[in-house]
Amino acid sequence: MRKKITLIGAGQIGGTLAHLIALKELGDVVLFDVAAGVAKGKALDIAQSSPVNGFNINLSGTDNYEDTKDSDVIIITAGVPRKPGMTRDDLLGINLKIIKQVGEGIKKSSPNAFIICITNPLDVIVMALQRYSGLPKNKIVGMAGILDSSRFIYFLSQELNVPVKQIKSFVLGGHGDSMVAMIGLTEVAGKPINSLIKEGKLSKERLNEIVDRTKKGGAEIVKHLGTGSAFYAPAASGVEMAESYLKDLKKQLPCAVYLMENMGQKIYMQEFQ
Amino acid sequence: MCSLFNGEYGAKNLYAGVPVIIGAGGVEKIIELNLSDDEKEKFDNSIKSVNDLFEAAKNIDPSLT
Repeated sequence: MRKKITLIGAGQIGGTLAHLIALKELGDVVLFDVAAGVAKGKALDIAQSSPVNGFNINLSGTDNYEDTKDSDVIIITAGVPRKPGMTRDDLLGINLKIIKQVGEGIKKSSPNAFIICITNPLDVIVMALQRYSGLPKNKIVGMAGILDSSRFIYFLSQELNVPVKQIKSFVLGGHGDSMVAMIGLTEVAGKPINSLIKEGKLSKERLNEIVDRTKKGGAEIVKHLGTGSAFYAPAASGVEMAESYLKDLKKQLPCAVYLMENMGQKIYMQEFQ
Repeated sequence: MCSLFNGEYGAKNLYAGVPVIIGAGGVEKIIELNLSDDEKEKFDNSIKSVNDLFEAAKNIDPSLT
C-alpha cells in the first residue's frame, strides 16, 4: 500500500512539498488548507504534470481533517509569516492559535503519524504542537537545522569555490539568530575548515560574515521577494526528513527535537522505546 | 570539551536543533557531540533564547504551562 502524506498548509512551501513528494513518489499527497480552493487547485495542477514527469501517485486537496485520516507523515507549514510592523508576540499569538487547531485535528485523525513542523517561530511552535496534540515526542520534530546547514554549506561553497557535496557541516540550537554553526566539525574536501583558516585560505572575519549571513538567510530572501518568504529550500529540507522516516534510511540530520532535563543518552533512548 | 547531553548543558524540556537519526521509529537516536567551550556557550545562549520565547508563548496561552 502506498504511504499517505498530508501537508497542512497549501502555501508556497506546501505546494513545493507536494511537487517534490510527487516527483520522488514518496506516497499519496493530501494537501490541506482552510482555503480549500488553493489546496485543490495546486493538487490538481501537480497531478496534471504526472504524465509529463511520469510519477504515479494520487494528489488531492481538502479543508476537511477527515480526508487526512491515518496519514503516515504530516508536514505542517500552516501559519502566517512575520509582516512589517508585526511584533514577535503578534506573530506568536496568531500562529499559536493556528497550531492549536492543527494539533487537535491531527490528534484525532492521525495519532500514529510522524509529524514535521515547519511553521515559525520554529522551536516554540513545534513544542506547542506537541503539547496541543499530546502525540509522542519522538514522532514530532521541527525542520530548521537542515535548512540552516544547507544555507551555510552553500555559502561556503560559493566562497571557497568547492562543490557543495565536498563540504560537511551542520548547525545546532534554535532556528534564527541564535543558531550555532559547528565550525570545529566543518570539513571542506576532507580538511577541517580551521586548517584552511590557518593556511590563510579563508579569513576568520570572512567566515564570521558567512555565519552571520546564514543566520539571516531567511530575511535576505524575504527582502528580495518583497512579498512572501523562502520556500524551495525549506520544502527540500522537509522532504529529506520525511524520506528518511518513510524509507527507514536512518540518516543523521540536524532537527529540532525534544531535549530533556539532565538528559543522558540512556534516558533519552528509554523515553523513545 | 564537554558532552552535549550531560545535564550541565542547560537544555531542559524544550525543543531545539541537534543531530538525530531519523528512521522508521521517528527520532531513533540523538547524536552526542563534543562541543568546544565557545560552542557550548553559544549553544547555551541559543537554548536561552528559545526558552525566553516559550515563556512569551506561555503568557499568550497559559494552557501551555
